[in-house]
Amino acid sequence: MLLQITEPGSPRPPPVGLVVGIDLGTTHCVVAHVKEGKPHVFGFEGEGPLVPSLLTLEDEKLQVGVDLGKTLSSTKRLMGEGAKKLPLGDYSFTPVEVAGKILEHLKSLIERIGPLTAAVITVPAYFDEAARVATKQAAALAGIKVLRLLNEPTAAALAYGLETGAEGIYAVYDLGGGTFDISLLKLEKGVFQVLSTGGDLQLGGDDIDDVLAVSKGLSRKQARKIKEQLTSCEEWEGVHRSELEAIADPFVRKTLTISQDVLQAAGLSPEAVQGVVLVGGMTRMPCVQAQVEAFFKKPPLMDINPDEAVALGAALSADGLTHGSKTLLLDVTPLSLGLETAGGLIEKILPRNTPLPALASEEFTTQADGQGGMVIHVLQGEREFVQDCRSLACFELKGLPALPAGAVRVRVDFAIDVEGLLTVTAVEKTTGLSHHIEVRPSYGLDGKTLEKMLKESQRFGKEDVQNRVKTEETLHNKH
Amino acid sequence: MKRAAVGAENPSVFDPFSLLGLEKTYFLEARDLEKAYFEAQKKTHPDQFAQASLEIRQEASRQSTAVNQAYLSLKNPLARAEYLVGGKQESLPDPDFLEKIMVWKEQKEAGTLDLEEVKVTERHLFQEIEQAFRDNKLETVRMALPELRYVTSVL
Repeated sequence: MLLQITEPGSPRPPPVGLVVGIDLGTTHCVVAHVKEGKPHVFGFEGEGPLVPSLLTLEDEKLQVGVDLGKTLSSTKRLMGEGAKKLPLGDYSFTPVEVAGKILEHLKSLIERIGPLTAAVITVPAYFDEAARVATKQAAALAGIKVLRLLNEPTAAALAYGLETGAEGIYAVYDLGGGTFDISLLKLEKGVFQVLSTGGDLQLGGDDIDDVLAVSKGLSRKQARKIKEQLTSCEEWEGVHRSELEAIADPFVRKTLTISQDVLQAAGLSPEAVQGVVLVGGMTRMPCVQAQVEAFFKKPPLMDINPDEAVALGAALSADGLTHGSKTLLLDVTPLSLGLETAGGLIEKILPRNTPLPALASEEFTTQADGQGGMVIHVLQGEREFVQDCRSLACFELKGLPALPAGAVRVRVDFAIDVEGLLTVTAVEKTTGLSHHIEVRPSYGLDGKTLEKMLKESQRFGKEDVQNRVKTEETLHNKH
Repeated sequence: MKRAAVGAENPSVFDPFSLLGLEKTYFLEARDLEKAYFEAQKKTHPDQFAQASLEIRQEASRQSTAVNQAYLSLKNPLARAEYLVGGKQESLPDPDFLEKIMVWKEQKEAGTLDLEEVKVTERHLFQEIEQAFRDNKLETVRMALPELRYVTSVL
């Protein structure tokens, strides 16, 4: 039986100020909010709804959204590599810091309209734990309270499903500037359930731009312009559409291989999918639409703006989390969670596509008499060997009681919350002296490092960043 | 470091049927399970308590996790059968059967496995288990389950 969960006392009043959805994209960002029950994108004065995800240094001044020569772009692809330094003029920034600057800029745009209370920020469904944590850290740097991270295809499905009232099994095919995601969902009145998801974080429009740029001796910017023009023209600046399509073909094929895999994981055939919702700017390419249609054997659905769907869904989610929602989102973990075993092999403890929140419990015993500690290495990924997967946490349980081999028993819980974030808890229960530890993976970006980063970035910032670190740390400790 | 026997699915403390408010039976319609699952998630999912206190949210997370575990164990007919006969059966199938499994595994590695043959065996075992549940012969179910586990491990 389920216990009735109720809050004692009266319900809290809804917060004042703006609650928004932010699509923090590889090439551009979109912000939306819900007004009178309907989601709308913000059209920022002079900037339109699409804010380019660029960080530019000009005359010792940092600017976001404009391209003025010395620029960092498409850094979202590096979000999981937290500590990597990217040079910009005489300075360097980590991907987290760049995202922080972009979010700070979005916040200032939003606050022209009203005070920002909190936001739902979207991430690619295929983002691993490291990239998710990095996104939350970027929001902390920008001083934005995150209600929750939400997977991009799930957000798009929410926008599409609520707008059209669609029910049944739908695929969301999301091909953007930097990443590809596909999710299969069961849409029903009141519940949207993700059945399976897959993707590639290094597959997007940028790759096509790069190949076109190299083959024609152009800059990436010029190549992108030509690619965009070829959506409606047969020829532009001497490049024929068929040439671009030949370049795009291997990338599009790869998305279909992933689509096949995701269908298989859900035990479905392409025919079982009622509709395919296209999301992401790249789905404007006629050859992408044609290949998706051939694969799913039905014309894809394009009745929602592919650039705005994710932000609109994030806004609906933010509104629902604040004021209560009639539609529940049930999402899954995109990557398997495993433990290192003998010989550098991985044993899976939570397979991918497990519904969230999820928990796996494992019991370990000592192998030697008086063994005082044991090392537990947690990894994420589908491959069999440790070196091919993402290391999330490696920690030693110390101070185990001195007992014969096999007599010490340690239970380790691996919990993944609804945002896809992992917590590991270990309890040594043999002696009744419960030895309790909690691990939150942070990829070299622990509280101290974050504080240092914030200090370094102060020469560009005006606000009291120290306070933000404290807030973030308090939040972290609370969770 | 050595893995010990897993205690998470201890049936004495975790009843997936009652957690989802379902009748305790092997013959569970997929649609009924799903409906019960969705209803339970509407009551427990942490998103439904986003504005509540930390304590409430943690409790919601715990319950929502248990609901997911119950759903997964009932959705899979093998796990469902195992739960109904008191947990994972540790007994070994007879040597002839084990040898057949070995051969299949070798064939699979070599890429010469006839998948259809394995699937037919799986289907027969499921039919046997269904019939045994119908006749309330739980001992027959217990005997057949380890074989079924081995067969699914080949697939």
